[in-house]
Amino acid sequence: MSLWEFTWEERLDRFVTELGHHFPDNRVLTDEASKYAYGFDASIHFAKPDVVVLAETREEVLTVVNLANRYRIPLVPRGAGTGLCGHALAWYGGCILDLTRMNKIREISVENKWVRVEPGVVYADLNRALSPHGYAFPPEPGSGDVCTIGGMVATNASGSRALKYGATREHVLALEVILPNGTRVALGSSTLKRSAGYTLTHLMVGSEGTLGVITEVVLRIAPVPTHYATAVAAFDQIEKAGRAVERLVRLRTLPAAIEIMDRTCIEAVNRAMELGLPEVAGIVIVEFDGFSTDEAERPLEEAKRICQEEGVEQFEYTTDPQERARLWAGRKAVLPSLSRAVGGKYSTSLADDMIVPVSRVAEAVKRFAEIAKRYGVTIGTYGHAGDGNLHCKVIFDVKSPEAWQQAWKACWDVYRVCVDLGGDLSGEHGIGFTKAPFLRLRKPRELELMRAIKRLLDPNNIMNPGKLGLEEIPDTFLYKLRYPVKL
Amino acid sequence: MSDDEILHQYLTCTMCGFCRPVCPVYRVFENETCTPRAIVGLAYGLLRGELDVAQASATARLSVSCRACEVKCPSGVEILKVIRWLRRSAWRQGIGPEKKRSAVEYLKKGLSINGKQPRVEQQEDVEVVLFTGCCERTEYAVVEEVFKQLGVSYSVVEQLCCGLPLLLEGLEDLLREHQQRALSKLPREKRLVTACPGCAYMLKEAGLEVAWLPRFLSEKLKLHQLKPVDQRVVVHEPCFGLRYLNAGEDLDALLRQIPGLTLVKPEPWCGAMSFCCGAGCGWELRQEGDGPKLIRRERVNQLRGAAEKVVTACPHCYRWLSEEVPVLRIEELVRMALA
Ligand SMILES: Cc1cc2nc3c(=O)[nH]c(=O)nc-3n(C[C@H](O)[C@H](O)[C@H](O)COP(=O)(O)OP(=O)(O)OC[C@H]3O[C@@H](n4cnc5c(N)ncnc54)[C@H](O)[C@@H]3O)c2cc1C
Ligand code: SF4
Ligand code: SF4
Repeated sequence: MSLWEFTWEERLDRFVTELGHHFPDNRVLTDEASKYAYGFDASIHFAKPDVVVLAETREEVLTVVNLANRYRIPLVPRGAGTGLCGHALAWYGGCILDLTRMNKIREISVENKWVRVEPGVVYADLNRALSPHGYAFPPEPGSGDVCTIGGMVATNASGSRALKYGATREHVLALEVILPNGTRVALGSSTLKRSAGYTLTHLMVGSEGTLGVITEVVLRIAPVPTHYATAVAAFDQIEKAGRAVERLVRLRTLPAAIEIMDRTCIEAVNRAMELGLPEVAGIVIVEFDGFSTDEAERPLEEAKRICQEEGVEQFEYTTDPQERARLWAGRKAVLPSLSRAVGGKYSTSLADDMIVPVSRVAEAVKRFAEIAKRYGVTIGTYGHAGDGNLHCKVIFDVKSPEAWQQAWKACWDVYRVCVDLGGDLSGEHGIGFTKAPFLRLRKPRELELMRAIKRLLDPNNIMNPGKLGLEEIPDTFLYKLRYPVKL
Repeated sequence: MSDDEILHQYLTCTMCGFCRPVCPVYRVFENETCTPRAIVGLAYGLLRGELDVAQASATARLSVSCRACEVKCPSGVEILKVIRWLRRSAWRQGIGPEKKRSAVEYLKKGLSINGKQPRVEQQEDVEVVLFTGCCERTEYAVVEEVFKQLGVSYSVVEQLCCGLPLLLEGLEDLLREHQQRALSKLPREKRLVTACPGCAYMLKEAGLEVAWLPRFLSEKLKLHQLKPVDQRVVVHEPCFGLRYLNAGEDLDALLRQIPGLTLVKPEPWCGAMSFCCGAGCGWELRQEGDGPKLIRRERVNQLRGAAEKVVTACPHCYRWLSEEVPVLRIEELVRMALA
């Protein structure tokens, strides 16, 4: 009997039954509570899978992929589910493959400057293990205490340190991937340089689980600086902050991080964390690092001069590790702190990530604020200004259908501004489902090429369907919302 | 706890997952369904009528009420409120472990959770009242010894429940009744002292003057000459002392007062992020399943990695951890320092 004579229910049934032959009961979840729980990630969406499998080995992953391919069951690899655009949701049902139990650090090779890990290793755990060696995997996403290396590779995650140290992509030396047809491939090599054909590791980085399941990652590691100097510069106009950023990036000593926060964000963090940041139009956090006090602190003078020339209101710095930790904890908490922002209104993961040329940061922040006003929503903007990477949270009455329509329009305008300014839809969080509608704002050729690659590697379209606009570009993100609203 | 309030908690939650790695239940079951974030999501499922009570409350019933999630949550979601709302919904449908149900039945009858008759010693001329909660008086033997060494006069209240179980199960009405009935038996004008941080929290919330044992001993030791105690110990900071009572400082202060002691903390599972031993102030040991045991194993591994000997300041943590590792109680360290 050919596969297509089976109904979806029959295929699913057989798939689940066969999983039961390979996995113990407590690792194949079909109970309602589990399906519901896996219906969420850090996005605005909700989509329930039909089954969840908790894999512990690459062989088990192979089994699941083969079965999913045989029965044409959508298969969604999942790390910690911190993706902000519905990446790890089973958009069309099917199977979620939870990889967080594959969390072994297989080998740390300081002499070769790499580490070999399973995909479910949590970013912070990896760096804790590297810390006695004086090394780290630098990208440092804000979700680093939670997110997994597999998720980071699949979204090319990064953070404030990307300016100096690069994003995840720059650190991936080799990958082991189970392709949708069940082939296990080793891509790249555990060497610091390589010129042996296509860099297929890069194809997998940012693929958002649509091309295969990553089962092992070799990452380049870097020595951890011993000294830091962190300054907070407060500006009464966002344009001034933007001009300062533009000049700070050109310093001969590249800062380790340049962050920006607008007033909405500053107020939210102060409220949530009692941080006492100056409540001005915008603050810029600039940090230098190195292996001596001099190396970290010397460039501050120049940075201060630049900020003064751009009309800074207040410029303060610290080299105290505790004070620095407090400041960064505040910066990392911007996103969730905005959730406490305005009474009766709630913050949503919309316009979560944009990238523009560094020279256009201030203009972008300003235009986002205008957009917010136009559509009657609150937009808090912050981000890694040093590489032009901005984040927003859009705050509105999530129970109101009209407010959702306004939010949709606001996001459309935000992304149009980014593309108009020479930027793109995402610097680090990826596309998932939520940002897929905005692919319409970009030139179509690249997406066509991506679709061709997808068809080649995953002809049955089992891997994470519905994401990255690979089948079609959705007309709006107002689908499968996790909010109590009817649209 | 109204439905609207629960909806507000759900909408406030950004599903960021920050609460996930700090939750002991998640760490041992390694399954998204067992995360605090999932609890918030499941509550929404119940509100929407998309899940039934048994399904929606399954994870909330596994919680050990350690409150790590709530302290970690940057959005200020009151996760414990959601847990209690789900537990209460389960109670209303008669869903819940037998051991918890029988305990609540005892409480309704004015007994302790172990079915014992409360005993309140009436002595006027004492400095403090020692409140043992549901612990046996024998568990307070060292405390009594130390009180004698310190010249503290006291009377004892035994087997009188502080009401914590009712709070943790979301049984608000019963809790109010219980507090009115049971706590009225306590001598109002006397300062209460208890080794149990859960009792200390509940008594404090009820407006009574109460000191958790570490604070009381710390105050008293200031007036005494102490001998060095040459021990290297790793501290297991009790959840209820740290995250309910906010009295981690009191425990630190007492331990710092003891000369010769080398203190180790099990990084990163210490301070505000101290990891639960699984006991949930004794109450959560009444759950079905092996969650608390698995959590204890995880905690013991963290502690053993740091030092051989463990010290703690909660009778429930002590009793539970002692089944797997040698544990000292703070009062034992104080006794050594006073010897
Ligand atoms: C509060 C907060 C702050 C954040 N800050 C940042 C930040 O600073 N920088 C940043 O870049 N991102 C940030 N993010 C977004 C998110 O944390 C990252 O995208 C992260 O890398 C996702 O990892 P995860 O393990 O949670 O993956 P998931 O969300 O589970 O999955 C993300 C995607 O990766 C795929 N995937 C996961 N594992 C595998 C695998 N083994 N093989 C193939 N595909 C896989 C999934 O299918 C999915 O498409 C933040 C999120 C939150 C909630
Ligand atoms: S930390 Fe708070 S906001 Fe984040 S998922 Fe947990 S409960 Fe929700
Ligand atoms: S209280 Fe503790 S056990 Fe319960 S959900 Fe929160 S972190 Fe987990």
